Parts: sequence; C-alpha cells; structure tokens
Amino acid sequence: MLWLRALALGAVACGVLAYTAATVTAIVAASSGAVLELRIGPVVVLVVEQLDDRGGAVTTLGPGLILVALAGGVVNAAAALAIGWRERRRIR
Amino acid sequence: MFDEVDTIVLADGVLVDGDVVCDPVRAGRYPVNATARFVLCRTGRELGVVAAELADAHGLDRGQTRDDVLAFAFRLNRLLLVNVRHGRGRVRRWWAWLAVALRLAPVAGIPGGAWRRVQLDTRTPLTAAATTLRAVRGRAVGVAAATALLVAQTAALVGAAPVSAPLAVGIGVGAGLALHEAGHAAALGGAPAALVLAGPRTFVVHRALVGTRRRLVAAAGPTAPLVPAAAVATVARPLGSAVLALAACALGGHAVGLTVATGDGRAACSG
Repeated sequence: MLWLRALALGAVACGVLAYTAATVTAIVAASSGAVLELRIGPVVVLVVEQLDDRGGAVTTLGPGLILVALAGGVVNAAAALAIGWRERRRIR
Repeated sequence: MFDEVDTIVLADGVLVDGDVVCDPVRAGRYPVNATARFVLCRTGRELGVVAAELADAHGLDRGQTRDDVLAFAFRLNRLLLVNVRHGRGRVRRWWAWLAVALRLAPVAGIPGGAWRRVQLDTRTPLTAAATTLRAVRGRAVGVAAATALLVAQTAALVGAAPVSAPLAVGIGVGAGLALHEAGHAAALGGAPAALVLAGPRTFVVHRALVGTRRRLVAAAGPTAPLVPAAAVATVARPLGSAVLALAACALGGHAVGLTVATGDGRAACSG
C-alpha cells in the first residue's frame, strides 16, 4: 500500500503545483500579448491565444495537467519504494 | 544565548514530580539529579541568583556555577521543557547576539537563541487550528515581510514588476506557514500538542503516533494550504490577476510537503 499512498499524494502534490504554475504562466502570457502552446504529444497542457479583433486573450488549461500530476505520482511512488528498500537493506 | 538576568519557567503541562520531569505532551519522562532539582525548583527567579545560591549552598566557584546553570537552562530549553523570559530588552539582546555572532563568524558559527513552546488546545479541530494560528501569527507576519522584501529586491534587479507582486508572494508564504501548522494540529484528534518556535524552524510537537493517525497528521499540514491555493488560482484566471496567481503559487508550494522529499511526506506515505 506504500506505493499507492505515495502515488496518490505525489499526484495531488504535482497536480496542485502544475495547476498554480500553469495559471500564473497563462495570466502573464495573456497580459503580455504572447502566444503559448504547451502539449504532451497531442494532449494540451496550456494554450494562450491572442484575440486580434477584440483584444484580450483566451487561456486554456487542458487535460495534460492530469498527465503531469500522474507523472509526479509515479515519480513519488518510485522514490518511496526506493527509500523503503534502502531502509530495509540498512536494517538487515 | 542566555543571560544571568533571564528566568526560566516550565513549559505549559511540564511538571517536576520528585526526581523526574514529566512532559505529558510528548509522553516523556526525564530523570534529574539533586542539582537539577535545585534549579528546577527555583524557576521564575533570575538564573544568576539561582547560580549564586547553588554555589553558596555547595561551596562552589560562583563563575563556574553560573556558566553551568546557564548551560543547563539552555539544555532544558532545547529539550522543550522550559521557556525563557529575558531580563534585558530586545535591542540590548540583539546587540549582545551580534557581538557573539561576529566572534563566531570565522568558524561560521551562529549563536543559538531561546526556543519557545506554546501549548495548543486540541480538544476540537477548530480550537486546535485557532490556537495554532494565534501562536504562529507573529512568525507568519515576519516570514511574510521577509519574503516580500526578498522578492521585491529580486524583482527590482530583473526588471519591472508591480509593487503588489512581492506583497502577494509574501502573504502567500506567511499564510501557508500558518495554515500548514494549523493543519497538523487540527488532525491530532485531541492528542496534547504544543507549537514550537525554534529559530528559523516552526513545528508542532505531540506524542508519537502510529498507523493511520500518524499518516493523517503528517498529510494534513501540507494539505491545508492547498485548498486556498487552488481556490485563489481558480479565481485569478478569469480576473486575469497575476498577483492573485502568484499568491496561489506561494500557497501551492506546500504541496512539496506531500512528497517523499520532505519528512511530512515520508511519514504520510509510510507503511
């Protein structure tokens, strides 16, 4: 169950970090007139498009954030297992 | 750094029971000898006066006894058994600290200050959170101010940034600290606890926990700031407010505490 807890907590941590970082990136890019497109393969993480006619910008946070969260969870689970293995080895 | 005009008082809940000092918060018992009992029975009196009485009672050198009593008081403080009431004003203490720090600078030493332990009311999650927020508010404001200053200086070096940006980051960091500790305390489920301000570190002490409760308390601290972080970020985007988004980032940084990179995360993930 260690790896499952570590996976879940790592995913939550990475998800929140990614969400807040994407939000501030989107806002800064939109207000500075930049165009931004972050994808993981075909999956959108963050898109910032400028509206030429009306001004302003459209920002989109996509399902790629979920992939980023899952990736963080996997890394955290792997690290937790590695730490646990090293502790057991040390005790022996 | 302790002075002979300082006094020590037993931390809330700590009591001297014969030859043992008992700490119900951490379920700890510390055996003491007759000399330690002599000092502990005179808490509330200046350490210099206690040392003089001890030296006179046993025919000891006053100077050495004074140093030993100050060292003992320091040790008790580091064991979180006593708090210190300083006899000198803040400015004079700062000057004395600076003088010692300059002498220790060649060996990269930093003089240690007194740690402070504040009892928390953990009868309900709400009282636990409220008493923690009250106990940590000074530290949170200080951390917020220092962070805002640091960010403002960095922003001034790299280019233009709104004045409100450093303030937002500072408020996020300070609020995150307060919410983090309140989260730990609220999850204790009635176990006795105290907040400790130990130099640059802030933490909640309680008796050793096991199993699900241990994992819950460990996870509750980093999780507490994440809810406002997500809420503030969600509000910031439609408003187009980079300042709010920065505050959300500062709060959201506590998410690292859920990973095995930190002690809280390792405890939360533990088997």
